[in-house]
Amino acid sequence: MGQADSTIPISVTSAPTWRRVRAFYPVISLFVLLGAWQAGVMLFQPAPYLLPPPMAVANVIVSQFPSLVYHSGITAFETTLAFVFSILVAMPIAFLIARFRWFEETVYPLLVVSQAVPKVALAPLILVWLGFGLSTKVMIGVLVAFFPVIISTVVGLKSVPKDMVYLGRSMGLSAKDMFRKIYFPFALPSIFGGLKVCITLAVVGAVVGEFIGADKGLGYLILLASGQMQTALMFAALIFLVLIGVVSFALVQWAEARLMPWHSSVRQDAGH
Amino acid sequence: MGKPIRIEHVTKSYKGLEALSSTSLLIGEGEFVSIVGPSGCGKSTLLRIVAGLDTPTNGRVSVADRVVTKPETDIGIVFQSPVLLDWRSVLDNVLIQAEARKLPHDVYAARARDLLAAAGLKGFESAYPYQLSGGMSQRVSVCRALVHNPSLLLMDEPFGALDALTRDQMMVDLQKLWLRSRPTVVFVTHSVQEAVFLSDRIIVMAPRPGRVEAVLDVPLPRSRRLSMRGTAEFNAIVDEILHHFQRMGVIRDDDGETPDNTTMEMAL
Repeated sequence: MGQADSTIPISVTSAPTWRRVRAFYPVISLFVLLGAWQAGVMLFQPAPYLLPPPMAVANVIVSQFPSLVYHSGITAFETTLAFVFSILVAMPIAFLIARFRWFEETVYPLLVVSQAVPKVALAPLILVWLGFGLSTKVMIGVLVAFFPVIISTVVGLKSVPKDMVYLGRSMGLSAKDMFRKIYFPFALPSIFGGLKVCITLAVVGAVVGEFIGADKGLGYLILLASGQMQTALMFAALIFLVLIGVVSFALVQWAEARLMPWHSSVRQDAGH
Repeated sequence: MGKPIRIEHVTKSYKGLEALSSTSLLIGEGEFVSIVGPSGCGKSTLLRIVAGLDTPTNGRVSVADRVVTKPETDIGIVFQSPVLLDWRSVLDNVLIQAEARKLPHDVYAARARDLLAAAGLKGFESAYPYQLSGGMSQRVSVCRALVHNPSLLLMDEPFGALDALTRDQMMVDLQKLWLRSRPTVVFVTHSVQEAVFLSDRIIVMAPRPGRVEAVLDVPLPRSRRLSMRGTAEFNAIVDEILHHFQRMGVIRDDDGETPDNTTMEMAL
């Protein structure tokens, strides 16, 4: 038996094992981070209101669990609404921009200029206009999050190749079918790029809304804990905020994989 | 069976620049016509005008005695790139023709499978475009152009992006598919051999401004075999076309020095 023969089975069996090990890499780095945190606290012994040890944060999470879940639910709800309304606002505008030259020329510059305004600075104004309710948080979320959806949708719709348009016209596709069967599916990968940015920004918008005027939600909880120097609670709220961000992003990614299994951003075999 | 095409005094200018100068051609029903010429000779422009995807500056095109004013739909088009819809399977890519025209799905699904099998794609019906090679993708786009049995087939350098071996196979397969339903074909290409192998008639075009330089008949019997390319009759036609290109100054033999266009033309 040659040496070459014996190497083949090894590489075959080791591939799945290797993938399983790699799935644990993020977990490993998380534990390293927690370890460093614990070591830092033990070494330098900062006051608990500056940097609580990981165990103190874990204790707060356990003891305040119902309250954290409640406030997370509020923030998650606001984020979802902001995300949905961002899509509802951005998509039609993007379609009109891609379709009509005059609309692009009148509206696009205005949109770009509007993005130069720091949206967070607008939050107090929104508060004055819409009050302390849910609508303020959703409005701020939309303001922060809708723009990437417009950009990505316009880019997607405009990059349909000329020949593909010719093809559609030679088949006698109506304007509606042209959009449904060619433009929209072609733009979908690009649209999802925008949606992923949008969902993360929607969380930011919801928290900013809660900062300026709210009696519930994780943003409110963070402000409250800050005022009472309950740093461990702040950390706990931040962890839940991170969870909302990660889970909502994963949901968008899941929807992407479901809707376009053919696309290279989703496929396992696509090269890096 | 194909429809005849009548091209009458068609010109096309872009921003005052003449891309195609007055061109008149008659293409018979069921005829396979190739347009050969260098880049910038207006051959793709002419093809788009025939398809109704572009409007002529002057003149007119009629298909079966009806003047073309909007995109023709009794037509199949093959482009240089396959232009497959990534989100559809191979079968659905072919069937979009039937969907767009509200044709009965079952009948055309059977037809599409039959065509795909004839094009050597049996077993790939549910594959997605990213799983196909360049040659396979182009085969799918040829099937898509033929599935609704159009009377006109327009091909714009369809094999231009393929390797030489695949091109040979595609030529043979295209001839086979064409002989099944005999649509009128306008086939734009850079390749002289390809044009001679496939065509009943060849239109040689010259660049700047685009114009018809010569029209040649190809009286070779069908169905043609690849080995025919070795015969004297075949090569006589190839040489004649190459001679036209030499006269235009599109290609020059290496004769030690490079004469400019005017002396070249005077010498001939």
